[in-house]
Amino acid sequence: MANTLKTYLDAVRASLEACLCLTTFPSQQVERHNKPEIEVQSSKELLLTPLVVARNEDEKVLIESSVNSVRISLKIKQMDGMDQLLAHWFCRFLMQRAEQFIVLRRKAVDGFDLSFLITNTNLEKMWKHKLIDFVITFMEEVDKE
Amino acid sequence: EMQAGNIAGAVAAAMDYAPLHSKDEDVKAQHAQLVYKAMGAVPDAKISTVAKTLSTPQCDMAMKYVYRAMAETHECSSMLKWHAALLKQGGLGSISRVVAS
Repeated sequence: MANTLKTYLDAVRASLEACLCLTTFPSQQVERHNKPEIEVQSSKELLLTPLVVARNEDEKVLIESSVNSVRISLKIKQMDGMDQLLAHWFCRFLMQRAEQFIVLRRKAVDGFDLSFLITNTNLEKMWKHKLIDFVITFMEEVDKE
Repeated sequence: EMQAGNIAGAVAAAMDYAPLHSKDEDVKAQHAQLVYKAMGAVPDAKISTVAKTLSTPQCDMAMKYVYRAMAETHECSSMLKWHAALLKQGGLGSISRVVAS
């Protein structure tokens, strides 16, 4: 059990390291605006193929990247109704305080429980490896509970 | 090729014949099944040795299939092992090439 967790987190970490190469990209639609392209999705050429790293049907990570932003969606393991409720409350609690987290998204992507949005401005202020460590530690902590 | 017991060769051959520009979903799905069979036939202990025999483009294709398999949640535990072995062989570049394809 602990073994698959490690390979799973290693795979996620490697995928994140490869995808988190972001650069600033001013919006092509509106002058002087800089929007996260993964949210706006204004042009097909700016988006990269989404990656899924899955441990099993209930636990997976969807990594969608673009030229200036990456959206990481997690699906937390929920085994029964009680788990589902707890996960739902926990995620809602976090998402309501998304501003404190900076990289958390206020709404999760469909089919997933929690979503992070990392843009090039975030990467300019924070260390990439620390950010990846944060996401991985988060996943570990949630898994422990 | 698999019957000949040459599993490493089978995986490499599967990568070479990947339908890269096919628009037909059926063709891609069929080939994917073949790839999963070849990759699944490799016992866990041998995954790293087989991964070492793949050339860089084959490694990239294999990475693509690992991610496709995980998106379909097919054999995830062995796919994770393949991911680690291919990563060692191809480096972060193989993932970047999957994302950029």
